[in-house]
Amino acid sequence: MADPILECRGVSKHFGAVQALYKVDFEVRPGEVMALVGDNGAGKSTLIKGIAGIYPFDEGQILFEGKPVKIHGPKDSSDLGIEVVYQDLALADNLDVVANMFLGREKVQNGFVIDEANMERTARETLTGLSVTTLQSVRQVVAGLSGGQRQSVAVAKAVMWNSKVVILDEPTAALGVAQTRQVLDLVKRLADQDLAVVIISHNLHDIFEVADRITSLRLGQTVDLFQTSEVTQQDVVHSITAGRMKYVPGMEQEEETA
Amino acid sequence: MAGKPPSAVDTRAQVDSDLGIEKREFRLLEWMADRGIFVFTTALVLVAALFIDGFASLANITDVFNRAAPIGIVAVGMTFVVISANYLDLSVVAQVATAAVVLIAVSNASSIPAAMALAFLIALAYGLVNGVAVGVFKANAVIVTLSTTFIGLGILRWLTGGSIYFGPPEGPIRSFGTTKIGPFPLSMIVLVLITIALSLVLTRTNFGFLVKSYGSNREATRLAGVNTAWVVVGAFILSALGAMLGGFVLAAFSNTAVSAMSTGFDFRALAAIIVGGTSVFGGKGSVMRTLLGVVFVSVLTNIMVLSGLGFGYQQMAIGALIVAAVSVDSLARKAAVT
Repeated sequence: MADPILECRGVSKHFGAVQALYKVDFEVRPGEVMALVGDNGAGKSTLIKGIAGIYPFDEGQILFEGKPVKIHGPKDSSDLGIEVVYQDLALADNLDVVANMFLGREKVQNGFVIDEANMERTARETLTGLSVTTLQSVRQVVAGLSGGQRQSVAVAKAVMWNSKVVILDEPTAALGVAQTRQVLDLVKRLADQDLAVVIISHNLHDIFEVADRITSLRLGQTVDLFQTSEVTQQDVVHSITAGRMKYVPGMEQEEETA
Repeated sequence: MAGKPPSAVDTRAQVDSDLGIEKREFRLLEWMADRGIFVFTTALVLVAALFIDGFASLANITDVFNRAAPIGIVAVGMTFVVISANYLDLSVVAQVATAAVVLIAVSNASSIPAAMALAFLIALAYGLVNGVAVGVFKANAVIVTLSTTFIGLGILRWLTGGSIYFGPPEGPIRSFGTTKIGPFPLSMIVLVLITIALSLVLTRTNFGFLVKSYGSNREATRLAGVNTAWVVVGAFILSALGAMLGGFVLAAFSNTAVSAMSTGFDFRALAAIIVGGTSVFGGKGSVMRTLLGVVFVSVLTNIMVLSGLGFGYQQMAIGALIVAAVSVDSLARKAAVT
């Protein structure tokens, strides 16, 4: 089995008096879909925001391809090849598909002139490569797209940069049945292309369909790491709601007994 | 992948037909927000030419251009601030007056290049102060630029004592203000050249692209790793440079300068920008549209002048125009979301 491409060891994060993450371990391997589950407030979003560099961790270590790295801002993580597709999609409504896919990393000639033709070609190739076929035109304004199409554009944007790790925050939360289908197929194709995929979801049905492994968080701590094929949805629900925590909040030392 | 699932396009078509009537009603607003300016400007010019005595004369057209140029130059620069979703740059009032006074007063005392260099530094300072307060400290652009207007006009009145400065009766400034090519004063040609240049900046460069995306969704732009503070600072610097050039042109036209000469420039420029179809919500608009908006506002003002309607009426018209334009913009945006 491949070594983890991204690994968090004992990462913690607090906001004021609230300990959002406490000594969390997390990993994902190339070609694998890793699901991240947990109740509201379990720390899922904080964990990915830490990896993305939006809220850098207070302590702990991040290893990328086995080497320790420091992530202080969104630029650092995208330089490593980590891309996050946010829940609200982070698309600019008034811009077209191409402009959105290149947001912040426009292709330029002579230092500052936008290379539209080149951008359009790359965008189209990426979408075709992911079999995203429902878009009528890459020059369509994003505001006019359906939820599934927007999600597809956001995912295509994430993989266009030769990224190695793609993190999806609730990619199917706002979608209908057919559109959810499109997105889950897309997630599988990403893993087939040997990317490491992290998917956050509340929908266990979706998770059991696409995920190879499941990491369960509870109250800011890692409680379980499952192989999807070895567990039932019941096991995962139990872990999310009543999983055994390694640390008692407010105490530094590890508990010895169950 | 086996069998394509029913595409999302199908569902949209269905929604459209369900809301058929409502949709069609809203389309008119979208059309007005998007294309209205082309039709309205053409119609206004035609009506003026046909029904208003003295509009179509060479002297009057030149006068319209002379008055439109300074406001236009200010407006095309300010367009970047509006597209970046920071509403407007009120401080252009202070900036135009400062640039005009500096050009006349300093060139009287020393030389024109020295005056221009000083005005340029002042414009950079305005752009940086406004841009840093709004882009870095995230202060509200309206409050910030209202305050810098106060500071700027305060300094100007303190230094000049409110007195009027006259340029020399002959010299480069005077001849710039009086030279014409056909019906076009030099100032109008400057306006067109600046519009073309800024239009290229907005549509063809990295910076222009980021101004649009920041105005459309600032959070998404920030998450994409863009240094958004500099995008805002850049927009305010362009606005400041526009205001400086507008001040130069205004001073050259009248060959005088006084701290009170630019009253109303902020709202006239804003009227031109939003009547042109640039959205006050940001992310959408163009510099060319602003040029059309300037023509519209200037011709409307000219019609009122020729019809004997005084400054009070003109102010009311500009105010009403802004209310109408932002309302259409707002309704069209709401319609586009549903």
